[in-house]
Amino acid sequence: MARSTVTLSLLIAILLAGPMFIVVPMSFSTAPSLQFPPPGFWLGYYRHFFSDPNWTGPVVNSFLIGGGTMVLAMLLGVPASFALVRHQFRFRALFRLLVLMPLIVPHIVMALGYYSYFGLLGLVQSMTGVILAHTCLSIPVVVLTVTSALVNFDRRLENAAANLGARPLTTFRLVTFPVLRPAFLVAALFAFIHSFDEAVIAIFISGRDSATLPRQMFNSFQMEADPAISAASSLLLAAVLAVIGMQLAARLVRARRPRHPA
Amino acid sequence: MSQAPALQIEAAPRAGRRRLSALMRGPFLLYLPASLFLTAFFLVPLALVVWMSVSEPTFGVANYTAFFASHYDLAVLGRTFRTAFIVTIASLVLAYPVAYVAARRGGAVSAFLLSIVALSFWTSFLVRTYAWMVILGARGPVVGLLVALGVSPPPRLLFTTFAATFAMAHMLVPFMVLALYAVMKRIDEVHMRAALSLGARPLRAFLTVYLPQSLPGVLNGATLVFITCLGFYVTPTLIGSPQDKMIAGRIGQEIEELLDFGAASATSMILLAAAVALFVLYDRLFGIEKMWR
Amino acid sequence: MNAARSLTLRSISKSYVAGQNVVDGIDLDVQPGEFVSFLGPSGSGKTTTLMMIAGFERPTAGEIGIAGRTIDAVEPYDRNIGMVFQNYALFPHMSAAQNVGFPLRMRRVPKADADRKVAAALAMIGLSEFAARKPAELSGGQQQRVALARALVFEPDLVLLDEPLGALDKTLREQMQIELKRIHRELGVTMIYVTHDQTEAMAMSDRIAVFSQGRIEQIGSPTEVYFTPRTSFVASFVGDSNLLRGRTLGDGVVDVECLGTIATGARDLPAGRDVSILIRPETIRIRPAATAPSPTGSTMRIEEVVNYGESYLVVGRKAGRDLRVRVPGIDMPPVARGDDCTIEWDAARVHVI
Repeated sequence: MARSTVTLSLLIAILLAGPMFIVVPMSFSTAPSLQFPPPGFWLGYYRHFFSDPNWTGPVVNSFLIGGGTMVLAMLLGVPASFALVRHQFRFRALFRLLVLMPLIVPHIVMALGYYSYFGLLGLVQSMTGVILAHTCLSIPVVVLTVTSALVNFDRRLENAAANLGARPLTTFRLVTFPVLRPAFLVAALFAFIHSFDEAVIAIFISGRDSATLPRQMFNSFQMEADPAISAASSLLLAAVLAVIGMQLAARLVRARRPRHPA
Repeated sequence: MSQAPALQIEAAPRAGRRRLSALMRGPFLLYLPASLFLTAFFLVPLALVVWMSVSEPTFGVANYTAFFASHYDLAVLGRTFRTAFIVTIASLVLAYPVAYVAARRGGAVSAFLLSIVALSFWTSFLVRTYAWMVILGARGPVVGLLVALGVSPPPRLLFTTFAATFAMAHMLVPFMVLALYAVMKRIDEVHMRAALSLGARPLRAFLTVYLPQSLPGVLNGATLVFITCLGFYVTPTLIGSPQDKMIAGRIGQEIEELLDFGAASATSMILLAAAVALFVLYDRLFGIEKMWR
Repeated sequence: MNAARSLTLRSISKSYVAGQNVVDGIDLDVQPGEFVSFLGPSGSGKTTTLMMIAGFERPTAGEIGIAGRTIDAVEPYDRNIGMVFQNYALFPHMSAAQNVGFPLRMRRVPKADADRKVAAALAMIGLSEFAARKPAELSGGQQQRVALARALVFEPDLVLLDEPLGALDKTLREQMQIELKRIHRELGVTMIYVTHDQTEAMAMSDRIAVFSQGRIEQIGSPTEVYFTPRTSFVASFVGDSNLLRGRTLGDGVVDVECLGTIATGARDLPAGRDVSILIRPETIRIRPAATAPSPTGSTMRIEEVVNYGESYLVVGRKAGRDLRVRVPGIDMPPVARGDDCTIEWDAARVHVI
């Protein structure tokens, strides 16, 4: 492969990642407005972020809503995946369409829908409403992940377990679930993140008490460009870095374990 | 030894299925919860939007006719499509080399590229939009550089369609890379080597052997990015031009400022129609499953 | 006969689509301790039959019995049959020891006993030091042995093996064949072995059941199947063959295509019958230079000579047909491509189908 191609790709990659990191020095900046390079450094914005309930509240809300969404989406999505992959039933094609639709419909359209609908149901500006909405959006994510794993799952492992004396529930408990567990974890994580980062619907239907972090950040952008945003952004960036770093580390550890001889 | 004659046993489902524990009597217990939930909390609100588009404030298609009669709204629509097109092309151009090297090179280089892409992919749109806000801001590094180069007064970069387009392209590159990578990873190395051994120069081999095989990934990614861009709300609203809105921003405006739910619903339907049309087109040609796998 | 562990199949049939039988009327009696191979090409129904014995498929018709009891209604997890799957199907999240211990766990064997049996099983296959390794950390041959140990540890009455050696390379495969024979001998357990490789079936079996299109064409010892095949299919599938069509003329004389009238040992066959003649390539001798044809000889023009080291394959042409001859390397006469030569055989070695 030509050197120039590799260099080009690396350049683009750095251009891709670089801009994001600008939020880090900004979070330490003493300037009250968007000024770069920062005139001075301090921890004020972090202190502000962690002490102001206008920020800590939404963070907690986002975690709660994300957690609720994750659980609900998994409870609904995992059985749905099994139905889609392992069973034939009359409405299967229709069901698959239904499950994937939330990925097709633009969030702004759903925001409008939820705004009116939850108004009718009395769920406006409530955590429950946001969880219900986010769950719909996360179900397709869960289903895509789990069905992919199910399709690649070797049914003969279940046959082997049965042949060795395991009844169906035991087979699921001891063989199917443990082998699928990584996929389940990934699906749950995706569902959580999908909810945690979701901005559009949260902006329209989460109220002041149920505000999510993205909503708070969005409002801050629009209104005062509250520099605590930079602290929030840096923390989010750090979280992503940490997860990716852990993944890389895990892969390195796995590469060290004894592999079978050729 | 039993003397029973051979029995005519009817074809029965696989032995393991007969005695499934009472919990799983049939697949409907598996798909019913999700079906009911999605119907109640997804289809109904969506139907509500459809309903509102033809019933607010009065019954009829007034909202739609108003949309297509309005210069402003048509301009918004056109701008949205144009922007989505530019963003798609731009992100394709940037993403292709990255995906190509990541898929073929292997080793530390690929790992690095994929980590960067993952980092971009998982960082929320808001954080990345904020970063662009800083970079393109009046007191940011780009303006600073332009001033240092003697461009005075410095042009206004933020709150323009340019800013929104630029930032969106940047933010959607990871999507494109992942779509391309998924397909490129499956292209067998052997084909390129065969082409080279048959006398093709590297560029020719690439154009005739590799590029065509990567086309499904290109189409996947392009469709995904285009549709995402059509419905993009956050970035155009934050750093795009307030006068020259894109369609999602227009809907937001109709909801919050104009309080015209009928118009908002109609505009939403038009946006939805565009997205669905593209998906249907994609499905007809390639099958919808291919989009995400 | 010890009925306690015998396996019987009576008129077993299986169809997925009405009217098309994938397995068509299989009758089989397997004696305790026998090693029986199901031999046949893909699609011949051998794997489907095996799956019916294991309980993963239900027969459309017929009965399967073990030790005199029909087991059709018995679920796979209650059949107490050991099985080695084609890709081993080792549980990837469990170590080798945990895999081998799984059936004992299902049978609630007390831990101390289970540990002892697992250790013994691993020792039998020579993988005691690998007990804690996961399948991904084992080579193909090692995985195969763990799969075998897992199928044997609970001392089943019957072990089914579905082309277990297919994924191994030639040397390893031959080693494993010997291993399997040894284990079979030591344990005395009944084994049914599915394969499409006739050399493998020949090497390992007490009896071979040759499958074709859902039916068993012949069941017999390797010698029977090899030297006295009952149908042309068996003759051509097992071992290299020269198959010629002919008509009996009585008293063991047959008029065959290409070779003319030849003598065979089948003296009691009436005249006027359409038959096939089988002459195994290794029973034919070559002499340089052509001589007149006889009831036990002919001539041919040599087209190819292939040197396999320990033997030669000589392919010749006579009257528009190819004839194949195998000669031990040390006995190879000085003939080459394009030569005319004489071929001879014993009438007793000519088999009439």
